[in-house]
Amino acid sequence: MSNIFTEQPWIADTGPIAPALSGAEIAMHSRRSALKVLLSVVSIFFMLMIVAYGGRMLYQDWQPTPQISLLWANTGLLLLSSLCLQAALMWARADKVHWVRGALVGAGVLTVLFLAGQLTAWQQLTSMVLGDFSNPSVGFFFMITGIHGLHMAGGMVALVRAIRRAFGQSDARAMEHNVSNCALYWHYLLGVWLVVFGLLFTGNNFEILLRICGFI
Amino acid sequence: MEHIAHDETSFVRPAEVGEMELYHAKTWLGKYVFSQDAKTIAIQYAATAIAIGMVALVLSWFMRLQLAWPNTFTFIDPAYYLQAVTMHGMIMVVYLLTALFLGGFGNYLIPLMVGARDMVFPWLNMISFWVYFTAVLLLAASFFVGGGSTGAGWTLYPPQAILPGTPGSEAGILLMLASLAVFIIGFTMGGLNYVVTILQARTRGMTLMRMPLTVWGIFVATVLALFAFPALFVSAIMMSLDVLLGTSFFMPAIMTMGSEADHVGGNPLLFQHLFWFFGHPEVYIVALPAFGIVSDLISIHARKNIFGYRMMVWAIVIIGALSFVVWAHHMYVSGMNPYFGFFFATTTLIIAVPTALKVYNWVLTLWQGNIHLTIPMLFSIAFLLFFINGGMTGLFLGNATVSMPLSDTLFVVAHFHMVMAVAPVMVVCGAIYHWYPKITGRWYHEGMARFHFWVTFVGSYLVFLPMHYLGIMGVPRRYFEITGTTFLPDSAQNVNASITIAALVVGVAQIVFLYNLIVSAFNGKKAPGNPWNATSLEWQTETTPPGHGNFGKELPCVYRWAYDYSVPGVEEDFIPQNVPPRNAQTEGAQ
Repeated sequence: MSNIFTEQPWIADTGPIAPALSGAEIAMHSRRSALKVLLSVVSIFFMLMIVAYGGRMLYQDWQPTPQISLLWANTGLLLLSSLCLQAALMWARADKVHWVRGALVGAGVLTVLFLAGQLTAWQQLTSMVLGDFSNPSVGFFFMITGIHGLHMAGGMVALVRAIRRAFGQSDARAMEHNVSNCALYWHYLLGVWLVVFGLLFTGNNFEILLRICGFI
Repeated sequence: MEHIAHDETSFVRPAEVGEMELYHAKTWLGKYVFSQDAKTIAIQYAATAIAIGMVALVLSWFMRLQLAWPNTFTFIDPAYYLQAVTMHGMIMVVYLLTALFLGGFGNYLIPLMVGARDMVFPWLNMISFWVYFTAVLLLAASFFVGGGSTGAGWTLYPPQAILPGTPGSEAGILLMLASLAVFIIGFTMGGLNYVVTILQARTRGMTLMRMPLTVWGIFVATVLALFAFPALFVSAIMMSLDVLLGTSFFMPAIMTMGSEADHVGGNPLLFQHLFWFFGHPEVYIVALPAFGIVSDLISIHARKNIFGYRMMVWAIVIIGALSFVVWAHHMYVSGMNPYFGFFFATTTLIIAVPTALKVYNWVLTLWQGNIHLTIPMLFSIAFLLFFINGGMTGLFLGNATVSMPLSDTLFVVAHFHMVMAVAPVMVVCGAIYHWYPKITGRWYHEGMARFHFWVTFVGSYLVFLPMHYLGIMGVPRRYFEITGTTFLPDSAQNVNASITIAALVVGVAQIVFLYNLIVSAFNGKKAPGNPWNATSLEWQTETTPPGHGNFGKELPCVYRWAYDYSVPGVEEDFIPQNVPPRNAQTEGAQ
């Protein structure tokens, strides 16, 4: 195994060269790698929005978003869908086809309910602020929840494909890669939502954090 | 010298896994339009980028005509001038250079250089190009909408970018923001491909530290782009919402055209931070592939291994990492806390260390090399001169106290054109001439290529060197007209006129360049498969141009790095990466 810190590339091989890195190995792992790279990009995306939110909070005229209790229920739905996918992964490894199918469908239904819940939360906030979006915190709420929702909707494309494959074959082990990638994506976006929800949309937690860090 | 003998059958382990399955197009459309072959996609990217780049070149002519002979050309009014400035900048930086280096060179060279059949996600690669193409169309559409394209400057600073009175504040700015968002979505698809292909589809023996520096440059630049573009994406969305929904992310309470705007409490500085968090890495998104490519060109055409390969790799990585902590040096005059400015001045100057290491290493590679003054080598040397020149003025602008009086003058314009416009373009030209025989299987016309080089090299110096002096005199950038300004001597206008003449001549030379490329592709002399006697894998393909799948039946195995030039004791002055040690003609073997 070569090491980028110690390898001396000017020395040609004098022994058997490393095993192949091409072929089916690529197909197997490249999707996983691409997903990890994509999630890194998504992390930067949400991090920037959170930092921008925090930066705006430092101004004296900051007015937080009105609290929307429905978001707690939506969080529960997303948590359950993530758990469903984790269960699907476990059952895929245990070769329990019917259970995998059920769990995947369950995850899909719960995610659709989550998205519907978020849209309802938008309606509630719109009526609370009487259609006036000029308060920056309201703008941030729509943007952050909207972009998170779009990511979930994008994930649904992959989930629907995984469900179709699950119903088209009887070998649960063969579904493992797809289910595993979906599960990783869902867990990650659940984590992003928990950070965003906990920090920005449940009271003044972010303000407390900024005070602890000495920014306020 | 010791002779190392190997039995190839025991030396090369059999592949543990099968080949990747290639998609074979069955129709003409599938083969040439919606192609999934990275080489075709590369040419599509390059052609689109160069086409929109030519539009930006013409826009720069209009700007220069107005500056040289104010109010002579009636179609150039102040609004049109600002629109030309804006579109020239954005097109050149994002739609030409970024797309050409990563989409063009990245697609063509990554699979070939790492020994892969294609990108790991060919379909996504194809989609990536068409999304990019859509972004270009959206951008071009803004020329034709009511109010025209945006004239907010390529930085698109709010509040002015979206307030009435700024050219293109109606549909123009929205189309620009939409185009950028679409571009970023397309790039993310391509970027995932480049990164995963480099990490996972390298052929046997191609360790990361054996990759040519071209691949390293494109790899790190892609990572930078993946992490930096989200900032531009977020700011594009936020500004669009400010325009469309009346949110106040960036828009403060403000009076416009004598009445109060609907916005309250937005923060324009937030946009500047987001924009430059993308904007400064963008400089290196353009520069790092150029660094990598020029390293290979210098090594090949000086017949010498690159000096300090590992140092060069780590310099690329360190420059990439540091580029994320220097962004506010573009904002020294925004009224920031002086300690903040001190921090960013320090980090900015620290970047000079790995960058200077690279320059030393390029020069040391040339030192006592067997320098062939081929067209690619001429462009490489020109790159060095422009880059050193632009880098030196960067030291002025990196220091907050020196930067402030020079801010918004032509000194800044001269600096960034030297370092991130002309220097990378020199590499683009050198790289195109270098790989042209591989891409087309034919030679370009040498005489036209030399004409192109000398006119571009001397002409670009005549454009941008005097511009520094104008900047130091205090000539501001983005001004429609400076005549009648009492603090400027008349000679400033003469310098402006001479710059314009040089710019027009340089522009014409680019037409000769394109003519040469297009005509030679059909009528040029047939080129051999490895005309430069280069070592990297793209020169070792069975056919030239490489066919679908790049390599023949078997993928190559790599036994050495890409810089075995003039190896002592070896008959020929190069050893390709796929030549086993027993076949390399050592003294002991003779």
